[in-house]
Amino acid sequence: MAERPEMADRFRKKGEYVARVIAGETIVVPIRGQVGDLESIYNLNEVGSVIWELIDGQTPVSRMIDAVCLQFDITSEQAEEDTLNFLKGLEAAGVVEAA
Amino acid sequence: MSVTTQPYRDFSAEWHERMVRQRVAADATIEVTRRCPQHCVHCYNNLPAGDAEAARGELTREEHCRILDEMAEAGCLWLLYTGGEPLLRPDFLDIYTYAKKKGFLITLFTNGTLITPEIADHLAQWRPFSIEITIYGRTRETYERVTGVPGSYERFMRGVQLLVDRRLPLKLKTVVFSVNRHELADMQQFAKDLGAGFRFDAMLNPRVDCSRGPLAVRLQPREIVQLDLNDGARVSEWKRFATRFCGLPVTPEAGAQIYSCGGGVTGFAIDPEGKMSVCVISRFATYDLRRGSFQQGWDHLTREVRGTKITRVTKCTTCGIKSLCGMCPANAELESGDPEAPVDFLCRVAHLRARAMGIPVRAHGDCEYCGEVEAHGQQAVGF
Repeated sequence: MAERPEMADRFRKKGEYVARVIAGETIVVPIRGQVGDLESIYNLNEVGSVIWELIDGQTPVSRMIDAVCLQFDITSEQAEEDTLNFLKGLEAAGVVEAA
Repeated sequence: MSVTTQPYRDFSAEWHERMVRQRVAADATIEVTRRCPQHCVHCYNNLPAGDAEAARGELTREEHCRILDEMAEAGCLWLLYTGGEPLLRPDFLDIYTYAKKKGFLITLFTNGTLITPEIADHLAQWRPFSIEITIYGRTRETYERVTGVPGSYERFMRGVQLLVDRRLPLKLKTVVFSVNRHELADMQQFAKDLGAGFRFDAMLNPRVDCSRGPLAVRLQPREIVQLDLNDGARVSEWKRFATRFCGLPVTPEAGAQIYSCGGGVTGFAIDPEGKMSVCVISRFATYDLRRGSFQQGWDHLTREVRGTKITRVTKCTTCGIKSLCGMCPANAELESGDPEAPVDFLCRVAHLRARAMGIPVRAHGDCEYCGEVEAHGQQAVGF
């Protein structure tokens, strides 16, 4: 797997969130603390929902990629790209940070 | 693939459409209590703060939490806490925080007079989606003439300031009636100075027990329409609304439903004793959540209440300006006890509004107010 020099190996959530599945969609609602944009709603697709559950400050990114690869029957390259893009998006939105 | 963060407005519109299609119980209003420390003459449901019998009948904190669990499971997202005055209950913040942890987007309606630094700090930590405080007047004299409670104006101002200091998402709103109408512009300016949103409504209902006390201070139809005309944005919004929802004729033969709003489609209300209904003023065929589950209650509303059909043709069933009118089955029940009976006051306001804004009114049966419109033409006149 390609090296990821600019990317942290582990991430944690900034503040407290609740992920809710409503009408077949997963959304993440900020519930506590001045983190991210509390007026925003974070809408996750299926792959994002799997990764979200693994963002705990302990699970390495490589294991997230493995989980995505396993659950969605896609290539490791595609799983890596999806996972990294997803984490970058969350980081840019101020929802997660490097652990 | 990427995470999408949406501005709330886009998210809300998109999700509401989806919720309607799937009939998800998405929009909740919970009246925590009907008790209130203020005695506002126009209020439709307030009871004295010390009403022990009312307090005994209210859902307990545990019952609230059980219902919240079931609401979350059913897909409810938007939750409005109102009253009475929610903060009158000593355990309200416990209930509120439980709901926050479940991931509801919470709006809180309060009069603001019971907000302390501690409560404001708690709300800053567990931030609501929105807080709306009703302002009853811009001066102490008017405010307390409405509330009937000396010192309430100072407490209101303190509550507002505590929220502003913490940059909480505050909006102000008012109900305009004969006692405070002369201060509407000043109330609006006050909100603007605070950087808070502002809205007003001039339509008063009878009380939920059908008593008519609030109607004694209700503005006349012409005065209500004049308030609209004073505000260009409001006129534009009414026109847009009238065009979008032009009210197709409905008939009993076609199986038309008596309710045409969002109540029982995505919306519902729960009163302080756990009675579930389509909205806060509807007392029609409620479901007791102390005797069954939330899902059973929702099924009851969608099947029994929303499924109720109109039984006769009235001037409302073929009316094309329903969107300019506050008429609904719940309102009609409060006014006359008959959910299908036209409400004269609302009909008069709607026709005056149409006339003043140049909105066409198609013939809709035996309506005395259509004659007035025809006599004046379809253009704005006389205001």
